[in-house]
Amino acid sequence: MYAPHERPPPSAEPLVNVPSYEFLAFAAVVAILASLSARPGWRRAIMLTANVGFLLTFSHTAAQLAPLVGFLALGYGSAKFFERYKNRALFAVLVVVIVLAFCWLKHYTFIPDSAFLSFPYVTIGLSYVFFRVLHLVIDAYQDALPEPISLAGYVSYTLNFTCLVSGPIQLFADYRRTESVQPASLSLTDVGAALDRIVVGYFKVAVLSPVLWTAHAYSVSGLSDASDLIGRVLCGVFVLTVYPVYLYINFSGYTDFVIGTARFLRLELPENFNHPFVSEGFIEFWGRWHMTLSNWWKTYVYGPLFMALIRRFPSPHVQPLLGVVVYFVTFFFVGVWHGQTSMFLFLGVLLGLGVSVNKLYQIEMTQRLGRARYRSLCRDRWYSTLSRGVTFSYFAFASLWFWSTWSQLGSFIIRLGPLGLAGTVAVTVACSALALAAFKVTLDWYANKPAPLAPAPSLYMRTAWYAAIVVLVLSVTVVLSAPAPTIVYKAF
Amino acid sequence: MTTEQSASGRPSAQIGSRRVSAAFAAAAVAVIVAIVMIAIQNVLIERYFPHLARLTTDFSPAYLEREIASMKNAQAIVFLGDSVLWGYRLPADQNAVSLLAARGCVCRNLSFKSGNPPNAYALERLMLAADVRPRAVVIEVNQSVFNQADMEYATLHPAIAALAAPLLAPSDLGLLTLPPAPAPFVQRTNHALSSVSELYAMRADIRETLYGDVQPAPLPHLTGDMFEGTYDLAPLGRSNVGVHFLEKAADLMRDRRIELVAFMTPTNHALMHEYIDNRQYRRNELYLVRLLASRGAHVLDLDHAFPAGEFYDNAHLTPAGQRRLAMLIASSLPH
Repeated sequence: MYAPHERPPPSAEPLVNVPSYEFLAFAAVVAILASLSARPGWRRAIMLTANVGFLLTFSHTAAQLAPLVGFLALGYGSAKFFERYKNRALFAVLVVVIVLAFCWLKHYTFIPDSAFLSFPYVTIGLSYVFFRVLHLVIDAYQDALPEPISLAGYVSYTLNFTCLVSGPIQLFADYRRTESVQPASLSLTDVGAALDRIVVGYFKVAVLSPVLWTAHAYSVSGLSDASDLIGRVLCGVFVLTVYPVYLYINFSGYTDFVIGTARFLRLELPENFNHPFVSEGFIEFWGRWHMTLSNWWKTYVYGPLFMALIRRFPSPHVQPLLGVVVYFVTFFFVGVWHGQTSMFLFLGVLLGLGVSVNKLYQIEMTQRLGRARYRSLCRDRWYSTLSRGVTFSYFAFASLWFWSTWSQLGSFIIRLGPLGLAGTVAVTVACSALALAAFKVTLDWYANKPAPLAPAPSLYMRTAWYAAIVVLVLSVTVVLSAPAPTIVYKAF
Repeated sequence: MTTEQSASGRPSAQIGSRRVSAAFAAAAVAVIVAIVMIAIQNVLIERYFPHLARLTTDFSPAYLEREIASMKNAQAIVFLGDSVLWGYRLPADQNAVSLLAARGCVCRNLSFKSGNPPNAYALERLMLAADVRPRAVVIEVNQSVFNQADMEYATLHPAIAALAAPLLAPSDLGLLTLPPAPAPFVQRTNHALSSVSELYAMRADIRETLYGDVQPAPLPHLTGDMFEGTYDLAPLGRSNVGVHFLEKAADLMRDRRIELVAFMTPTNHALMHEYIDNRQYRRNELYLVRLLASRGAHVLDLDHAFPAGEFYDNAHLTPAGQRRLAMLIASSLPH
């Protein structure tokens, strides 16, 4: 939340964390105020006040906000300039300046330490603000914005408190539509659905996440204690597989929470997850995991880069391979965006490799088998089961660079040894393939189940279920009695 | 609604009242589910939450009550003391009381980190009020808690204060620095929630059982001057709050004919030589020994009994020190 090299004093902790009861209370107050008048101007004013006010809760002095404000000012100035003037060279320069400013504020290690600001400052949500700012600047240059952007509209959009901390990344046109042009309805059904999301999201973050994190911590310590090969392999499997599940539960829980909360404000935020672990390839995975992030990168990096390379190398034989290269570059930067150290640089390499090799594989298999046979193969149950296992296992492997350190990885390798490593990989692929196959079967059954029960019993069963979850969440948070549970992606 | 009307032919008022009824029914379902779940939690906690080897750092009134209630017919030997007897820097199974329990002693350790004579007296009152008659009470007497500059001087643990304050005489309460009372609304809310939910009442104990206590900082190289001022060398007397409550604790046990064993806390004289190897320190030790002995207590003067290697600091014992303490106390316990 603060620039990495500075730790704020305890008294400087934020007043409102996400997800938390305080955040819900804050959103409730804003929702009530916003509903006092049907005028769009009133609603926009309340949202703007709430968005700025929420940001202020993360800071105790104006100086702490100055860098973020400066970054926003740079973005606004650039967007307004390009609404009117289309200067290609200046556009390229300003995009680079915005990217470098982001890297500077986030303390990327390729920038010398002496260049950084020496005082603590707020960087909450900066990684996501960065995407919104760049999106506005690029769309302003390309005349793709629905309307000229006002200062108030810009501030409200970039600092939307419902998704400030960790997204989702919503495009301006979509935000504008739901904020003032066509706010979402708020019927009883909508209220119920929103409450469902909030309860489930909080349950994931407050109950499931700590359990999974504890399991992960135990597996890491268990790996160093395990004496025989089987024990080490089992611990290795848990070390590898628990963290991605934890990450999914934690982040999707946050997303559920903010989507549900935003709904009370009649804002519709985009979805971020679509059962990512049932993906049968890494490209499909990124269409289901952190979808708003991957969509942004595909729209603003993959697409333009691919088109530029096609223009440069128009040969139809080369174009599929260009896709491979551009996938690598795009997802390399996705990895690098996650952090400032060499671990994340390597994460970028792995993510890029995963997607580009997947693409290369698709190209190769299509050439060898022909499109129809390849599609038929992909529909084969065992093939898709294996594909799911391999995809999840690769993501779990790449995630090691997300949460561990080089020395920790070294100690894992030494501890497992060659046999242990091979066993860990084999067991991970096999078990995840089977587990995810069962999960997919359950998902498909649920989607295709017979006609739902009559509304009345279904309403009471759902109410009972969610009441039970609420009691569980309250129980766990009472026991923990700690600050609001952390979400991993708040660090970015 | 117009669509619903035309589809079903029902008037909108009827649809609206059905919705309201459904909403009330759903709310009733939610409340019933919540009540049932809280009741299940209460049963599970009452049945399965363990009796811990020692009190947690932030033990709750509910847990303390539960512990005392469980001693009702146990004829246990109850240990009252501070962090030394609690086993600071050690796992729960390595303090002297746990070692004695492992050898068959029916012992209960009600020591805790900020233990002192006022807390010991209050615990005795609580036990007697709950019809608990221990087989014997063992009190650790640490000279440092009689120091008026000590943080724990004349204080009560919040959980003990919450339960024992009504049992103490106003004159006794007036001598103590009680924990600040929360706002009345907060107090009433806490009380209401604690009476309904065992989980809420014992949340601190549950949390510490699940996650463990905060780990103490690593020990630096210790020198005696780091503990300068720990021991007050002014002559002890009845005006000292610690002495006042120690007397009352001993008198209470004598009046109820409950055997009282007391031991003077072992002290690291090698470390503290410059500050405590003098006549006044010894006078205060003897004063306390005689105070207790004159009230029928069997007193063990363990002040000088331990070598320097069995201390972590001025008073907290290593596992070897705790073993020695268990051995020395064992000979004085009723069989």
